[in-house]
Amino acid sequence: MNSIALQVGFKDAVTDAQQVFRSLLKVMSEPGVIEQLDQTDTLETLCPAAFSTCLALLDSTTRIWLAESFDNDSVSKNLSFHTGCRLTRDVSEADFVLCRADQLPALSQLKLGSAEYPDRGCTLLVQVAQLSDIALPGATQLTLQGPGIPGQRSISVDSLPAELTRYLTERPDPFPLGLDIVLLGGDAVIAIPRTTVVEVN
Amino acid sequence: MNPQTIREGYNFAYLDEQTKRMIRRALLKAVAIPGYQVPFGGREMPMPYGWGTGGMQVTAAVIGQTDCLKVIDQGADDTTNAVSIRAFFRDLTGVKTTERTEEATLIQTRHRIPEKPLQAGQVLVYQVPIPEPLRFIEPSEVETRKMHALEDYGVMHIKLYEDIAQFGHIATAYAYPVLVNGRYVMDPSPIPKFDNPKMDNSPALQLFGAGREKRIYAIPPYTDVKSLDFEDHPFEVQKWEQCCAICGSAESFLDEVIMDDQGTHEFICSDTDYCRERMENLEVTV
Repeated sequence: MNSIALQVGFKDAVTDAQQVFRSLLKVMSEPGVIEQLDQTDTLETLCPAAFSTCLALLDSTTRIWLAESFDNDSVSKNLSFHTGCRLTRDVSEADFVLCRADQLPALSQLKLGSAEYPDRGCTLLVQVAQLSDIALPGATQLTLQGPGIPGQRSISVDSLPAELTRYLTERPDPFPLGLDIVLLGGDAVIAIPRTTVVEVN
Repeated sequence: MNPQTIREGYNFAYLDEQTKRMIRRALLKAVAIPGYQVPFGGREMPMPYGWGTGGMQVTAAVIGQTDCLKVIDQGADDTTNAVSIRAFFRDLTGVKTTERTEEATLIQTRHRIPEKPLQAGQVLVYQVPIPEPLRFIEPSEVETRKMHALEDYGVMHIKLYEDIAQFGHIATAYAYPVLVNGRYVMDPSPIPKFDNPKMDNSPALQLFGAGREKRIYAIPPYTDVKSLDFEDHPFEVQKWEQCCAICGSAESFLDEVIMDDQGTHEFICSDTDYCRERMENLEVTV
């Protein structure tokens, strides 16, 4: 029998989940704004922001797809234990896709919903090395415009994969379809919903 | 927060955590698709439909210990619905409550937007009876979904045009349809059209909950919200010849109040907080 170390999730399940959600609501409604998510510790390779987000949003009614680096017993058993979420191997049926920046699945495979029900699309959670609202050396600088942004906002994402940059600038799925992307780095979170117009500087 | 005041035997903010998560996921999709109605598994609340069960479920999913809650019904903090909902959340969360618009971080409203401009960081939760703006024209949900998908909104303009043909102007005075972010036609809930301009590029986050119809929708801050109109019949808000009989305001939305059985009537501000603050300032200057 192999034993997996279960790790503490939220210290206060009700309060922490509410705080994490409020931060997610803030970043999703105001793309480019950074919020801190440090309600949990690191779970193996999963950063605190990513672990907190999973605990706040997942449960037995959601299917999650894990990229290779997170698809191990420690991460999956801990997520299952704390949230009861269903793991899936088929990325096209996942409600949430959790991956590291260098292990993106083929974005064209992800669930988009339909024109009648665009909310049924997948939420893509991407763990990156670092996020900032000031320019990080060597990082991708993005300028964001759209709902939730007065004028424009600039963000700097370390290790943003080229495929994701291309997706964001080209937006192959016509609105209202599209992926809502949550970038998680350390204990920082930024969201780029489908409405945001992205330019690379 | 004062933990002593929280009623025993209930989860924080009444709803169970699983329900809150479901509503929270719907809210995140709602802000990602401004103006689009996200279906959600609406729960029974300890009051009948029509009293704000949708708004309450949204508030329950959003509210936290550090929030300061304001509840208004038709602009007033002191009506039955507002007092009851405020007491409900005070008893089941222990959060601070207020009647002052500027103090509140979270405002649940029925049919009004406060007169005082909302600030960044504030969240406004609307109680919505019928979320579908096309419902009175097309009773089938399958059809209205398709119309939204195809941006087939011509019929909405016909409805407004029929007003013009019949009355010479657009007679729709409340629940006046808006176009959100240039894409979805949305029912702003039965707020007077006087309040429609306040929704446009508001720094506050606006969330809408319809309990009976089980729909959630949202307008993120700084989002274009345009009231539908015609070039030759541009959108206009109501105006009054009278001023508020209490504070004398000529800018606020006025309610007509019958004073006796002789037909005497007066106009007073519908926003009680706005009216009270103006009175206090007047008293100071006098």
